[in-house]
Amino acid sequence: MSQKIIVIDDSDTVREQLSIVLTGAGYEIIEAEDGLQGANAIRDNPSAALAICDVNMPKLSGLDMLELLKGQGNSGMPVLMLTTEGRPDLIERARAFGAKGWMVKPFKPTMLLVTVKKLARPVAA
Amino acid sequence: MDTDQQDYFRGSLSQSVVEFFRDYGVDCTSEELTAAPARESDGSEMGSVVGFKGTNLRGGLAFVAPAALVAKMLPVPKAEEGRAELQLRDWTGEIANQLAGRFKNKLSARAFDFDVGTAVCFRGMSIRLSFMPNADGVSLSYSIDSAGIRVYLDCSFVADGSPEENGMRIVPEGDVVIF
Repeated sequence: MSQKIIVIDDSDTVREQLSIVLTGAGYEIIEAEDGLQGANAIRDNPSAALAICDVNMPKLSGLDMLELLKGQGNSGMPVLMLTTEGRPDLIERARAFGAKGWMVKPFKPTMLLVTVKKLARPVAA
Repeated sequence: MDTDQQDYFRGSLSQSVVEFFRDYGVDCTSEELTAAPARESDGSEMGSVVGFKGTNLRGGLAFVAPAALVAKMLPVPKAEEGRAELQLRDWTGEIANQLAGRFKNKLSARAFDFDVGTAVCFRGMSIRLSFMPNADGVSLSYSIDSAGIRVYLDCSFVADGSPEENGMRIVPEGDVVIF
């Protein structure tokens, strides 16, 4: 069974870019267009291996989504932030809210796949 | 804004333009960028503009390019006819977003910070932009003439004194930090 990855970004193009790279490596993709949809997708798919999340999004930003999920007792799903932002204070905030990694756009497919493999939790036996 | 700050803005924007378009297949060096907007093109063009606002500066960044080039820069396969225009719209907005993000990261080293708004996209023929006078800021434009790309920045600056380098280590584009 393929591992599921939740992709959260308000850009159709970025979601498609990620989807192409990840499905090519055998992952199944669940898409969300903003932080609210992302939070719901994470709650509705507790067995997903990883969530990849943008920061600047409408309705609920990626950092606010992390904070919300932490307050609600996130399932422990690892989250990789993927964003144009590179400031260390934002990165620290994400880390404090439970994110496991931070990648700055544009991403290199090889680097993305290595990072995903490192962060994705293994399929439950 | 003093000369040092203007130079810093100019350098940050030109670097952002060169680095971004190089990552998407349009090669250009800082020396090849022209300060003036490119000559009028005679074809379909599209662009996007994104505003930004922070404690010590606010402004907008605009990007214009031939529609065919924007389509060529797409990092995903071109959508079918019914969705193609929406795809281009989304990608054009993402270009302004990523340009503004690069610019923001470079300015962060000088204690300038701002929030980037949502990009607005537009299409037209032979788009020409020119700046209104800006008494308290900087207006910049860069053109990659060979590709017909223009990037415009208009920015007003409010600060006490000249922000110094703050030693903030920004994670560069394409890099990853694992916690």
